[in-house]
Amino acid sequence: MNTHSFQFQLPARPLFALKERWQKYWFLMWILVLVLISLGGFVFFYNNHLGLAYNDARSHLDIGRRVVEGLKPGFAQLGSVWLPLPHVLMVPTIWNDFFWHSGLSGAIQSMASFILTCAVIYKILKLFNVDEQSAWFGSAVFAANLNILYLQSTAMTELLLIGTMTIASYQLLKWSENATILNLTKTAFWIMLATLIRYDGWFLFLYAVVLIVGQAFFQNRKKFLKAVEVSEGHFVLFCTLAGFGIFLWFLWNALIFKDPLYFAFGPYSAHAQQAQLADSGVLITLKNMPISLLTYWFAMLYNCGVVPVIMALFGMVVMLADKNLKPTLRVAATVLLIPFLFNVVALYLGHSVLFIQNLNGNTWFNVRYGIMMMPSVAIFSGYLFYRMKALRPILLGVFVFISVLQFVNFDAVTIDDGRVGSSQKNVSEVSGWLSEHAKDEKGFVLISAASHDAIIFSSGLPMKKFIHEGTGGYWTSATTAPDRWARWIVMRTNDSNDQTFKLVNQTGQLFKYQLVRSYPFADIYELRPEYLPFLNTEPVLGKQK
Amino acid sequence: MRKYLLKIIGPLGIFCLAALILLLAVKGKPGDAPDKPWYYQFDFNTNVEGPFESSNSASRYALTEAIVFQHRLSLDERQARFAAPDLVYYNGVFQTIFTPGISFVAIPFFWIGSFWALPQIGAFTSTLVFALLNFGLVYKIARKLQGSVEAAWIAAFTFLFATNAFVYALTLTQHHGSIAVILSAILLSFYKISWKSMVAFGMLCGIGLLFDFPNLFMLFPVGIFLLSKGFHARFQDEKFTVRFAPQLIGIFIGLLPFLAVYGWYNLQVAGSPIKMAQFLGRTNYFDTAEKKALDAKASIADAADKYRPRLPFQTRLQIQGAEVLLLSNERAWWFYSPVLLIGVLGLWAAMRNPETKATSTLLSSIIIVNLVVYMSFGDPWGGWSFGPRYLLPAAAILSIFVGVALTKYRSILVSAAFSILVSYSVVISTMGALTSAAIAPKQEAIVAVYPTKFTYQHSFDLLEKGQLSSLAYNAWLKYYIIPVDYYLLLTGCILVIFCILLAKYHRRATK
Repeated sequence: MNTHSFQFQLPARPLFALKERWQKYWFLMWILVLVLISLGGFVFFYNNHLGLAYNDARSHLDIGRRVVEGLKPGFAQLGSVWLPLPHVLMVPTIWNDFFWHSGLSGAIQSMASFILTCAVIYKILKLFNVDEQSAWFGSAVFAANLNILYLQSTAMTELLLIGTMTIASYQLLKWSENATILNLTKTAFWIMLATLIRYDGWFLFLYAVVLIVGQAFFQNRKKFLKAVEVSEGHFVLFCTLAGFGIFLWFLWNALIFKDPLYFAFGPYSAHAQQAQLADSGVLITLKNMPISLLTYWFAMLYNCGVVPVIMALFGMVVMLADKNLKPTLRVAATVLLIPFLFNVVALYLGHSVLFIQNLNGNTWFNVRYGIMMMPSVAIFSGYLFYRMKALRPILLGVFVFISVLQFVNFDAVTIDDGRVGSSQKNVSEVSGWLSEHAKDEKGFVLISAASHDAIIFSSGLPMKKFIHEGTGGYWTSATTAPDRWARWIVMRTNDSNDQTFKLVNQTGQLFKYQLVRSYPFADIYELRPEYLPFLNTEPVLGKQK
Repeated sequence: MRKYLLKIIGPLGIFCLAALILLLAVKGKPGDAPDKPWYYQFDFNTNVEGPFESSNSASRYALTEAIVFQHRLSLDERQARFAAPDLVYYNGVFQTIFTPGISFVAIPFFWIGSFWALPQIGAFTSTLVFALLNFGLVYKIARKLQGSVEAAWIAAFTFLFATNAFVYALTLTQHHGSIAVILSAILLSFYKISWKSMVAFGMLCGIGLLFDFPNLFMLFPVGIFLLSKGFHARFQDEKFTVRFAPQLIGIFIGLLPFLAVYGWYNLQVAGSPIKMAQFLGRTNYFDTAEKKALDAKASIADAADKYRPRLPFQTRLQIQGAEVLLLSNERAWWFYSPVLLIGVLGLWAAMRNPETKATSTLLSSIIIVNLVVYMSFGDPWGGWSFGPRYLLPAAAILSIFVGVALTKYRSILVSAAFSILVSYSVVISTMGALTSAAIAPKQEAIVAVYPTKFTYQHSFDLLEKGQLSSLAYNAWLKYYIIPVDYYLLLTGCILVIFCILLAKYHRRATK
């Protein structure tokens, strides 16, 4: 530098001390910052009424609430449509009306998962021997994604799944490094949790089994019999814990619904819903691998961002080709690609549906599935940052630039899906009518929770005001003799997919009701005044089995 | 003495050669009446293949004319109609949507041209000057990056004649001016920090802003690079030492006058120094009543959406932007100027060389910023244009690295690949330069009343129809050769230059 320069000197010792202290506590500081970001995100989206934009978010909260309140509360309310862990985790707080109606009961676990995932991304990168800055960069790529920040503020299950899968991946990577039983057990535990959140976890379980058995065999390959024994031992140990959740789910379905595969092939299963879409010809990913690949690829780009994905692609190549890393670690790193593989396979097999606006539909639907790749994108980006030291300023600069653009423009596809896509459901008219007319009146509302959970949630009425599929005797009685049990019926007239309409229509009693309102999502019927004296308005059936 | 003369005459000759080729492609047409010897000079004619076929040239020209003839910065209704749709109507005043720098630079050229009743040709000459300056800057920077003399000249020719820089040298747009600013800033980064260089960098930032707002993004990496040179902090001898070169203040000293000019311009046309036309939005003043009604409806819906994007650059648009600029046959390099791929090879080589690593990192940063900024832009096509016009700064930098690649990889294979790719690229860009720079994006081309082709095929069609835009051809040479032959002749001349340079380069390499 030019000799004519301003220069000032400070004693180095206190600065060294400050630096040391910073190095000691900076991870804690980062966690503190993440907590503040997480809380800030929740408050922001709550104030904007976006936290409950997703129909599914309201349904998740209702399921949790039904466990503790309703005409027939209890764990049987967990149902078979969705895996139970997110709803079980809501139980400690969902009894509180604020926690229920603000969505906080579901968001708490998403927020905790957000913070944990950021921390684990940092840890995973450290496992790959990257420096502090690169580990921080990877963690920041994840934390500064607006789609992530939005979903962590909602009662959706994505962040909880991302959290458990990322921690499971971290433990698996650790195991691939040192092959201790403790790490194997920890991997199994986190995979078990993931299998109780979404079926993505089941795919992770299968892949982990292959990796663990393969690695155990490979490391003892010189003695074949020993290799078989060791890999068999690993298989049993791992599957016992990791597969326990899956086993419980089969058992649950067998006990409650009398069919261990009820979740897979029952009337409310994803399979049944996708079959309807396939019949109507809109499930274009079914048995079409290029379209399935393209659909998920675009979902990933829209959620994770083009620049981070490009960085991640380079980072992935660099990581998988890095000979300084142990081969076992590099093989295990392929676990980071599992969300991509699972979603493509699910789309191909027709178990999943995902619409990208202007690609395979006129609107968005389930586009948030693309966010599942975000931890992997962050990890690979962090690794690229580590390896491309010369390009660090520009990688950081571009990352800051796109983050600013994203936040200033409020550019998050998951918010659009919840606001204007098919994942939203504006039921305010129906729920508003119910809130206004049924709140202070006696009598039950007959409604199908499978079709109209969002209405139940948005009405603000207590759960015990509703007779739905999960209310046992009340449901059976009300769908046999509606005029004795239901003062109001909410259903889609002439739609046999709506169980309420299907069953009530069969009774031939609908003439006892008058249609009081007809809305795009549902019609509201009210019992004619002459039948009111015969109506049960109290939960007289008592405790049911 | 002879050696000294050769040192001057050689580059001068090459410059003259480049200028001659450019002149042979300059757009224009002789008039059809004694009182109108040349078209486009005083008639606001926006015909395809004319100099005003694109509104981005017309809008800037309208401002220049308003300044010279009417001594004002706003446009009258005739000029506004000519500038539309790149027009803003604010507080009852018409103004161009673009920053005024290019129009300001064109003023003396327009004025001189007016003496011969050729104001349009005069004004457009300003871009030719910038193009030739860029030609020299590419050479100079390639030399600084250890490119051989011949390879550096090849890099310069590659930029000017094998990319769409050729096409945009014949327009009154911001591209060549912006590239000149960016390349000059890069050149400054080779030198030590001094008051002179820092003031110059500040001035370049100011000029860049006046030429086109996104130039600041591309100058940003250079700024960081210079800051890193002038700011040091380290632990030494039990002390923490911070050094700061005061010359860095020169950046602000250089920048301020231009900020003042821009603020003054905004004050005159919009009533506030910080009201920039690009953020006020285009007017539909001259549109039909139906279009206005539709716009009003859309505007109400837009205003009601509190989550609408606030900036013209959006991350979600990057998917479309990346596809258009990197993959599609509408605008991507691989389709229009594949020779630039050799530049990637050169970039790789330069980054592996410790001596050129820092500078090549800086240059690659500018390429990345250029790409990311325009990938995020709503119109990555650049409207009706020829090739990826927004990526011209990146093309200039990759051309520099073409020279580096040829210097580093002296194999026949690389030379053969270069020859093939440069031939293809020259064929395409010369055709664009001699016909039209207005190629519609696919989505517009296929739904048009008369569908057109959305790649350079459109230019081929014009060539086949004999619709050349060259003034030299239309005024004098059309009596001697047919359009296709003129095109082949010009393309052939450019390729011969490349052959000669390549031969010289190989001869030196063999020595």
